[in-house]
Amino acid sequence: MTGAEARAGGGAAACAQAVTMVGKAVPRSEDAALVAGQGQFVDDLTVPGLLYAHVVRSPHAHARIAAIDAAAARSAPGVAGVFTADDMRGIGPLPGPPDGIGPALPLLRAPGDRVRWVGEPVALVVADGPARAADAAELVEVDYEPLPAVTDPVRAAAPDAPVLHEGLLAGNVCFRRRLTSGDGGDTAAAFAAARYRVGQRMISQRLAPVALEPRGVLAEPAGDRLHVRIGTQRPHGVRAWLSQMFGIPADAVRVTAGDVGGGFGAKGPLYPDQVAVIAAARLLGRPVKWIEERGESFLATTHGRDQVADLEMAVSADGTILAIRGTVHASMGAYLTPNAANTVLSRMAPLLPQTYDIGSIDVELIGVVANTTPIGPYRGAGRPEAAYYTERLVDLVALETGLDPAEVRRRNFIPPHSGHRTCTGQHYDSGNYRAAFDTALALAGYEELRREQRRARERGQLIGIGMCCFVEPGGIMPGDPGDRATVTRDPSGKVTVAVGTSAHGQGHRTAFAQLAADALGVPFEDVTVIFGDTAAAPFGYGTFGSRSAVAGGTAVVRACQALLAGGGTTATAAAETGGVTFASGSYLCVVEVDPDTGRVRIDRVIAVDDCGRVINPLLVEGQVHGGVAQGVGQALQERVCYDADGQPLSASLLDYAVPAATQVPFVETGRVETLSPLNPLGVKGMGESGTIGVTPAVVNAVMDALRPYGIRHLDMPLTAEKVWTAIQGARQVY
Amino acid sequence: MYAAEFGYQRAGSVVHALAALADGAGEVKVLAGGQSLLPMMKLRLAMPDLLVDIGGLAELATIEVSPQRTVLGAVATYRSLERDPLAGKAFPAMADALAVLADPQVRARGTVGGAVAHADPAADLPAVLLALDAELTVARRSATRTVPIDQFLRGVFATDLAEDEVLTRITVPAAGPGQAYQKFEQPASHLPLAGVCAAVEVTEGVISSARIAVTGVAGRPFRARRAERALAGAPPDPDALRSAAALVREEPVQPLQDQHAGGQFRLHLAGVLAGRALARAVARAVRP
Repeated sequence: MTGAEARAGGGAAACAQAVTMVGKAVPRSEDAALVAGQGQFVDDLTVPGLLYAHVVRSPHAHARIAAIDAAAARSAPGVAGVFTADDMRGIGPLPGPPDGIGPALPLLRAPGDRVRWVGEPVALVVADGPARAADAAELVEVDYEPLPAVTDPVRAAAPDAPVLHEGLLAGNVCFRRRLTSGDGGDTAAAFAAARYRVGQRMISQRLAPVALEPRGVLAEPAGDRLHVRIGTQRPHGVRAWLSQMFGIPADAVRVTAGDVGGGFGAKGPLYPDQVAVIAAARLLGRPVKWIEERGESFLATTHGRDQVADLEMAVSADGTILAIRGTVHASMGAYLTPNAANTVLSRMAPLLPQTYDIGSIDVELIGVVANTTPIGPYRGAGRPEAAYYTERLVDLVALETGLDPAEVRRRNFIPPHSGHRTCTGQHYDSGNYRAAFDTALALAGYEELRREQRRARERGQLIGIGMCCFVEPGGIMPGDPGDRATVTRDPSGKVTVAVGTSAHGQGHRTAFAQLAADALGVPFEDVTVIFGDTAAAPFGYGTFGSRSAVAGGTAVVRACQALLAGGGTTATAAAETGGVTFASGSYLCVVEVDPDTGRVRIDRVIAVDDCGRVINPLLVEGQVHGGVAQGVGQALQERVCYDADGQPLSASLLDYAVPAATQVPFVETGRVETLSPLNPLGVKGMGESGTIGVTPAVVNAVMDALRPYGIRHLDMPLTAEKVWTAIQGARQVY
Repeated sequence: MYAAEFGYQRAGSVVHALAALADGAGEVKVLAGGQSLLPMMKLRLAMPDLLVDIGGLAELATIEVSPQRTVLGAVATYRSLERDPLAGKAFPAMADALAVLADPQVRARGTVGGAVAHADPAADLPAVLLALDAELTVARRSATRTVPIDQFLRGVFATDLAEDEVLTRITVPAAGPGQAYQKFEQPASHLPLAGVCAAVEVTEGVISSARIAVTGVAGRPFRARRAERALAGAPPDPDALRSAAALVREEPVQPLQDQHAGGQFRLHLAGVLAGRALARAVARAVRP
């Protein structure tokens, strides 16, 4: 028994009845109400005297505003006010990136200002109904002087590119950082001595998160106090930022998330349109609600990914990967949200070694602004990109060395460990990558699949097998203070757990109740979990980056243990600090490509995840299925596109292909469990593994299917036309 | 998005609807299922002053299958057509199209007449109606006329319909069992990037007639007449079908292109789908 197991078991053994809920496949307690339409999302809320806002947005990717005439809008029926940047003076800036690496988002615009992406908020109209606010918004006349625009990150870094923020940056470059294991000499030596150098330009294309519920906010001022209902992943963050921006004491601000219909990272930041609505509500002394329209969300909600990676691996004669080097250009969009740079610098580049024992690295990371929607975290946030670049290169290593892709991986795995330091300075807490890999291959029947593939090729059928091995850092990152939980027992014996994480689909009400039930020895049904309201859960940091099982779950257990130890009716405890956990996994995909149309059909997805101790296997499966759907979307069908003038071409669900149920493959799941030594539960955050693991597996499978044609690489999304065109252009090599 | 203000009238009869169209001040549009019109209104791409709702007119929702022809009321929903026990048997290609058309929610409200009158160049059912030489009945207050669908469909969202006219019926002459519809979807909208309907008659081991209609590829659904002529009198074997498919691919139309698919790829798909639709149609003709 490891220390972690001992600690967890010790807590349970201290209770009168040790009923084990942890590990059980408990159906979610959230679902009955949600499925019956009883959810309380921001748009479900109305209050007396409510006004409605509509955002006037820039139709240009890059332009100077010469004038704004709101006279006609102000006198339109039902209009309570029209607001521009002039009305926002005195409100502090939105949080921006650390180190002032680039400009944060402004709130609104005024004459003389520039707009820098299609959809940038310019003005806000508030009226007594949403349709009237929309009508009045059409009457706001804005005089734009268009400027040349640039949308691609490599183009934006070029010296002759249109410059977005004159005088602020070096051209459009907001950071140019080098990640090296040593002084670069070790990598250079590795490449000089390498038998093979395997390189490829790879694009992780821009994606839109597309939560089922668009963003919204309902701001209710009441004298000196403010109650904000907002679809957010970080209610306490919003409270702190609003307190700072408006100069109100934090305890005068209440933030309630309520039910949130998905976030995927995009509901982490606080947005200028939301702040403008809150500001308008305070100026008017009236409650104001704003709900984003779907088409609007494609412009106004942060996008993910948008990187161009030119990377190569140094490989020895026996297929050992010695080093990685190259350059990654990463778009930040038109302005920097707080975590956009971090995504590349802390969550992408340092993860390039993935599950492999790679000796050295020398990668340049170039962050650029461009006339596109600002980049924010999107499920995986850096980790899917790293897994994609490395796993594509590994398959190209297989191609060049003549080894089976499975064999290349086996020769390079970090051996089973409970502590490994990578050449990028990451400390993996524990892992057994070979075990997950062998499990995945066994589930797939790998040898038989390869035989089937050979037979299929003889018939002219294009079957492909692809794999992806990955790590997923989660838990409590540096700078994350962890979370707190308060457990209260009422006279009837029922228990309430208030926790500072903020679920928006993950099932925490169920999972944390399971933890509390075991820790206290009470029936699962007697535990109520609350979160998402700064008034009810006193301290919190939110839910994002796969932190909640560690940051919230361990706090819940400790609070329960404190309650038992101290007697009394209530106890509060914090999570242990310092605990970046590293979940991992191996995914394998089987695809068939129709050579007549280029269409890719996914026949099988095998997903083996290691997230340490599993609190509820149903929740883990749910996360995997959802992540797989989004990962398949990136691999095969999703892409945010702009035309040459920066006009968005995919700003609707008719053009942006989020996988529908018919397009999501069935997932066969498997599990390996290497407990984390970093927290008493042994849990590791895993909410994003589906998006990290499946995308490279699908792409590798398609490229494997196309092997007879000698096609080396195709960029995502692997649409039918792209695949078919490549087949037409290639030689047939049998 | 919110639609601009509009007036709304529920038509109590066809006569009432036609009067409203003829007399209405401003722009008057007919509303049936609203599955195309309402999204356009919400995007403010359409801003009619008055909507005249004919969706509830039972006299326009009938489906009558008889040995010589089937007559569809213009506001018959896709769903009612899907569920009609006789229509699917009479027109296997229509059953094929309905199975892949949109989604259950759209099929519940969307109407066959709406699809034809809206004339989206990427719509499934018009390809089937075009292949089967459907005739349309169009009414105005003073008169009624019939027009073949090939003449009615003019271009992108453009038809023969005048501002005071309503499409009331679609008459589809009976055809043999040798028919099929094949589709290649645009993955976001699920509209056809290409869709092909093939209807063949096989008499004494030879294709006595072939009709092939293509949607999604050009500004309006079109008949692939060169391929049809090449198949007349040909044996229904793979070589003949392959040649016909190539002729479909080489039809001299100006193909649509956008970020989803270029023109050449759409034409290529049309060829592939024609081959597959023909093969299935032939199989159904020979073994119904």
